[in-house]
Amino acid sequence: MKIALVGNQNAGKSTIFNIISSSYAQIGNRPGVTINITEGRVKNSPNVCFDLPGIYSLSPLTAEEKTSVDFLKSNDYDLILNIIDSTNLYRSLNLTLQLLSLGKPVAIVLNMADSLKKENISIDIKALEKLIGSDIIFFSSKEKSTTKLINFINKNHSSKKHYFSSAEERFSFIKKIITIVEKRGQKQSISDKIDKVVLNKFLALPIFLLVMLGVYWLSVGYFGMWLSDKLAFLLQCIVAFIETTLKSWNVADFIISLLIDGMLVPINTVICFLPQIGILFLVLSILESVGYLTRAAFIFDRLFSAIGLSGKSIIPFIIGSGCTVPAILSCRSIEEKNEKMITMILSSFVPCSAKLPIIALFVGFFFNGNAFVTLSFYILAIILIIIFALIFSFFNKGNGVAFIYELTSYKMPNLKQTVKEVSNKIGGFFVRVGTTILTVSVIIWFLSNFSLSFVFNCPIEDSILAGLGKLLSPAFSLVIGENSWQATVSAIQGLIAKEQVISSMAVIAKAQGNAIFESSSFSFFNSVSAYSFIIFNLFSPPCINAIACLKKEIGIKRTAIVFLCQLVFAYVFSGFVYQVLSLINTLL
Amino acid sequence: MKNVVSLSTLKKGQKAIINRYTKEDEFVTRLKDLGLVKGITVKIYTISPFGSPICIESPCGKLLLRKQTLKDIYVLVQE
Repeated sequence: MKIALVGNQNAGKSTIFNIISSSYAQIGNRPGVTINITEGRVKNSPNVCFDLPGIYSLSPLTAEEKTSVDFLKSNDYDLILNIIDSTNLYRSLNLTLQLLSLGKPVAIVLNMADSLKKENISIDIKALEKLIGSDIIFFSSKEKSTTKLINFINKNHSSKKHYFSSAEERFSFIKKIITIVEKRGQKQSISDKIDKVVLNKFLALPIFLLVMLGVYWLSVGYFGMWLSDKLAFLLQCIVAFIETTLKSWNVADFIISLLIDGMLVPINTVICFLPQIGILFLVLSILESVGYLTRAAFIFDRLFSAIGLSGKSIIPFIIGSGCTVPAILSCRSIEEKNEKMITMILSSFVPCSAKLPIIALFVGFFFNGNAFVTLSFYILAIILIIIFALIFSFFNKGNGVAFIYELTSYKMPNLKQTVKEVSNKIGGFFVRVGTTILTVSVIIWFLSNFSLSFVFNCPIEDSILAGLGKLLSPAFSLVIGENSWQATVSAIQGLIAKEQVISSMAVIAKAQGNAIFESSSFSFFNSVSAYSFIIFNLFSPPCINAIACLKKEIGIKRTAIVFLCQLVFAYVFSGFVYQVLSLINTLL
Repeated sequence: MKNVVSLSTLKKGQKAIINRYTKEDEFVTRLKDLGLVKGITVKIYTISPFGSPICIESPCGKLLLRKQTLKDIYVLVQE
């Protein structure tokens, strides 16, 4: 027998699938987690079950919903197992009645039965069975024994067919059912009371600001940075220890350099993200399961809808000012595919904290640290994000599903589930970033440590990297007005990590801070080229960590396109800015 | 009919009964499938500080919908 698991989004299909079958489907706490149909064998039987993506009716709006509806209309199954959120019979029964028009037997699981008591609802299951004409069972994933559910599924089912000519007719029948079978007590109004404050016309924005400041401070801000610094120090000590040990064993310099500079040091820079990313995931996961993220989206949707996005984009943009990597990962809470991708791409335009040292150094020396000059970069970033979002939305017209969200009651986060989720995300992050970072780091190590005749440990001006810099520096002179391989190489290294730009300049100039601009390598910089150089670094592709994340989320092909487009854009735009500013400079 | 207005014009806390939709498309079908059918009582639960989206409370729960969407829903104002 083939069994199709069908239900509204977030009704708990995947949880039940995992309980009754020996296969494994991914569970999430937000709508739309199941994208493909997962197949599994029902325990203690030869029956096969299929976990279909969540649907609200047999009229699909999205590609995922269409997958389910097509399966249901294919007739290639024997039983529908309809999973229902017991606390929302009114909406769920609409789908149930539509399923009953298909002519196949339907067995119903009233899931989340444990929430009924909390919400003060009681359901007369016998009366419901009679009115609908199908077998029904209560279930909650907190139940220890699952044999009752499995036996229920494996028995023979038959159902009464129902036909309705319109949604109105269906719902008038549902209303009748509900008045007979359901009793709702006085609703708990704690959630409503919180919303009165949190969603208040005047308080909503200040509260959001406070929450985000808290998230920022804990993760990418002061607290997260402090933890990262401590971790970085610890890791440095370990690396130093390994290095001395290897040296004492007389291991070849070449191997030590490959292991330390080519592999361990770059890997460490990724591991240093751990506290920031871990805390961010934890806080965001809590905010999401509590129900605050939906409310944040609700508050800001108007602003973002004007540029073709939705309120959910606000979180990645704010996080992005700290670090692009968690910003890209936080885009996962955006359900709509195209919007998610656009937000991911645009969040790298927000100046991240690693770009700050570049701004600070150049603005400090050439503009006396003028705050308005610094501010101008942020304003420019916002303007560009708006322009690009508008361009994307122009091409994306009609693809987006219109905005419908459900405002669920505030919930206490489930500690066990939160920990599991956060650790899964962190693990995944390290596996994929680790592999990509390692490969690229070794390549860069090779390019900067070997000369064109493959001599190891050459001075940086003889390295392959410098050679590449010399090839590209004529082109880069359009941006900075000087044919400088030193500046070119530093900017290229910014594609690996933005911190590298300043440290590469320091290595080449053999100087620190403002003294960099007194060295012969970088003395050509003036206020105009300083401004355009910053712009190139701000809008060129983000660091390799962020690129690796983007690759995982949107695929290698799209990432490559985004990378090239950003590179070309940063080049053309900063070149344009340089030429215009130079012209103004000479005219004045 | 008197008092039949677009749902988007209602103020926070006002109640109304859904009367009709001014258009029929996939999205309206979805709204109906969610339970927003003729004869259902809805209440404006709250409005975003920027005027949209609007949260409407009905037997099918609290739904967040953009003001643009509510323009197509005509309702009979209750209180």
